[in-house]
Amino acid sequence: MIYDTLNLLFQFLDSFAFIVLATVGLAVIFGMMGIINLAHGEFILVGAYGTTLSYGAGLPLALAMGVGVLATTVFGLVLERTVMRRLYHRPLDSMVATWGLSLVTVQLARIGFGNTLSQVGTPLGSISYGAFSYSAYRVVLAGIAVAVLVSLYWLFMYTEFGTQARATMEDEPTARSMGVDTGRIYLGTFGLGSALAGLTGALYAPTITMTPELGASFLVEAFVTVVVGGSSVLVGTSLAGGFLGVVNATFTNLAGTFIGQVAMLLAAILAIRLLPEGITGLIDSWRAKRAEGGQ
Amino acid sequence: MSLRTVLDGPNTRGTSDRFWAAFGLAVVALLGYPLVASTYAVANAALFLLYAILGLSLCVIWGYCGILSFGQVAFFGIGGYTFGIVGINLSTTTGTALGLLTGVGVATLFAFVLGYFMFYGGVRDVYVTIMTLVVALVVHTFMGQTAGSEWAIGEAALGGFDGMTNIPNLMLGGIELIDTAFYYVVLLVLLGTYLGLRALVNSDFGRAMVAVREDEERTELLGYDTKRIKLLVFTLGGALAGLSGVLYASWGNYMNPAVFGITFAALPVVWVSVGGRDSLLGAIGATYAIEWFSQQLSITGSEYALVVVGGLLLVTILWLPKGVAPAVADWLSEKQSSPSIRGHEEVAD
Amino acid sequence: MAAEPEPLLATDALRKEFGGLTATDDVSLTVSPGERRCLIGPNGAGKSTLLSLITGQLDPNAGSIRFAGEAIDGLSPHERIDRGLSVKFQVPSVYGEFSTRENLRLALQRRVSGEELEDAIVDSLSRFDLADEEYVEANALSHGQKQRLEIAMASALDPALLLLDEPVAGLSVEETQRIADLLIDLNESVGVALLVIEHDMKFVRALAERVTVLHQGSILIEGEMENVADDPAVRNVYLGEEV
Repeated sequence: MIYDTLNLLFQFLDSFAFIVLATVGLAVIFGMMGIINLAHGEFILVGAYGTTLSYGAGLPLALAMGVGVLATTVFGLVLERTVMRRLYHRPLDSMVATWGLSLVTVQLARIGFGNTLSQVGTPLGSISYGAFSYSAYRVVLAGIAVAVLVSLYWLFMYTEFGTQARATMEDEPTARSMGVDTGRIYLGTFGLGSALAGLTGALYAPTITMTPELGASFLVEAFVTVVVGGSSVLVGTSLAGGFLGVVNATFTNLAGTFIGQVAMLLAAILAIRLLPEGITGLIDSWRAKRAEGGQ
Repeated sequence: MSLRTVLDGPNTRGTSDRFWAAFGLAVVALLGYPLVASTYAVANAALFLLYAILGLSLCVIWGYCGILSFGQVAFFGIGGYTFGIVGINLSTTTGTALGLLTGVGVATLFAFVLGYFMFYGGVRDVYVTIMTLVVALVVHTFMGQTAGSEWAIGEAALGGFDGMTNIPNLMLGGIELIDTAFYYVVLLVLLGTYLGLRALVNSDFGRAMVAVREDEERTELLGYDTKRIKLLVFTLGGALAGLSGVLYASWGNYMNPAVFGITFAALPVVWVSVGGRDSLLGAIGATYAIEWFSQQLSITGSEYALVVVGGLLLVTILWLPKGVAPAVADWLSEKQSSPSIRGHEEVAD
Repeated sequence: MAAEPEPLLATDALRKEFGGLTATDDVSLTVSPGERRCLIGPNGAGKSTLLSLITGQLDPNAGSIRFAGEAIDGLSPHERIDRGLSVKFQVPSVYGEFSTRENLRLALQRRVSGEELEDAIVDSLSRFDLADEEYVEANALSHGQKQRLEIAMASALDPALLLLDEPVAGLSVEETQRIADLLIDLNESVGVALLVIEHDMKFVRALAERVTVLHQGSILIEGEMENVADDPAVRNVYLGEEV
């Protein structure tokens, strides 16, 4: 009994970490710019390959992960300057264009590095309690997922960049007229989203097989969470991540990956039916009601 | 009322006598192709032509009704697998005919159910696009884990990532449709689909479809049930993709989960974006050209086909967002000395 | 006792809030069959919101609507249109890439077909003076022509009640007069009731049999134009503007 409970709890932590980390880079870009980045999986790929390759070249793992994040950030910034900035305010076109980018990146990775890379082993061993044993690294990932959300909260609420970014998201022309360099905000946001996707790739590099298509394994969770979460990056992603994490963990535990994914998808359809604006919309109307009641 | 009044209208570009003359010539050339080409080349051409039906399925829902689906391949794959299941169990003329009907039917039903939940559930715009893609990816996950022997329906094993093998050929009057015969069947189906869609988009219903694309709210307030229109068009798209999938299964006698994967899912989007999203003929031409080119490149041993295809998509969106066919049509109409206003012929006939 | 004729449109205590803001507050408005009514009030009075509640584009937080003897709450916009409502938007919403003919055809094709459709298009083109623009893309029409085209489309549905949101905004004096004449002619020839939001007081005087003044989401006063214009509360709301 206790092992079952522990097992479910850890499964939940695992799902929650995966969902949050798979989504957060996509969510930052979608929330701030309204763009769904179809090449999101390939940003993760760059992070994972950067980490694995520099680890293979002899760097310690933590440093290798830093290289992965850096490589993805640079990759993202270059793309923002050359491609993305031409497509702001064309959300459907930007999705199509980023898909083109995704095809190119996957295939170039295949041509450049072959069909697999040799793996970084999972660090940190395992924790055990009686007959129960679990990879310590996976627990660390859950901690990092929470830390990422908290840091983003701090970044958007308490820094000048955050204030300006929120103003730009709310009303771009007004923000610009008040002296905000919105072009730089977009660049910064895109860079941040890329860095977070790179971090995801770096963190999961030791746990997944290094193939050029590895990005695709993050997409279902990432897209579903963004759809359920709506446009509010932090609140949407954390709540949707928590909700979907429970759904996914429960059903994966009961019946395997496929049923877990289907359950998430059904939960997403249900959530959209009930909350057309995503969880963000629910929070907004709740806030409005509370503000009114307080008057 | 002549046939031309049904096929021509402001929602299709080529409406002149010259266009129809060129179109006729192209059809004659395609009909004559097996006379001059090798069996191998004809079989490949049949593949490109059956892909064009998949391209048309996206063209009609995206280009004419404004619903961008990234998951047309889900209906394609479901159609193909269903044909395989029925065909393997009943490999007779009636069996494969039944497989064709079931394949298209199941794909259509699947599109209807998905469309119903999306459109009547208030899912819109980019969310529709993402949901359709997620559905394809989830089916991909599902098909990938069907390797075990418990995943067999009658004689037909789904086969996991190894795929479903030994799918029979479509049969007509006791004759297996392979090589040239298959090519002609695909060509006629494509021709019928194209002309049928032309008639559809130029009909009253087609006008309402385009109106939904242009301004859904306004159209609702002219009294149109816009959710129903979107559902019908999306279902039609599912049926066409399913038909294409059935032909594909019969062509290669094989289906595997890669048809639900993210790379194959991108191809219809590439074809239609490059060809011109509101040009049926553009979608057909681009499908053929891009697939032919990719194959030529693969034959030479190059791995750069997908790089070129992805790059082509990127370049199109950035510099020619309407696609190639509309640009060509504009260029041709500029060359004509007396510019006629679109839609005029409709009454002149 | 003779029964009161049932109103064509009756809203009962309609209320709509956005966040903490009340855009429409307890509005009970009735329009009789064949009536010409104008809805006036300063910016932000809730006029357009009220219109969207009637068409079903927005759902009210409270209150109900009856139209042609039937409760229409919860019906989707197209179902309300089918019961005899029609609307012209504030911003001219014609289909830019369609020709004038195609725009009209889209509005007419659900009601008539064949020869009759052809006649209806020709009739509409001449009534709204758009015959020369038949094959012109709507994007290329002047602002006045777009306004006329949209009114033509809205009236093509043969409604019992036509809702018009600022039909003469941005038009010249001559064109404004022309629209007023067209609407009065439409009203008198086929008996369609009009509910018109407009700021142009000259136009309102020319058109309206009765006016309703909205202020801060509520009905301030309702009556004939002369009485309403002299009302001190109305003068106060418009603060020195000539009414």
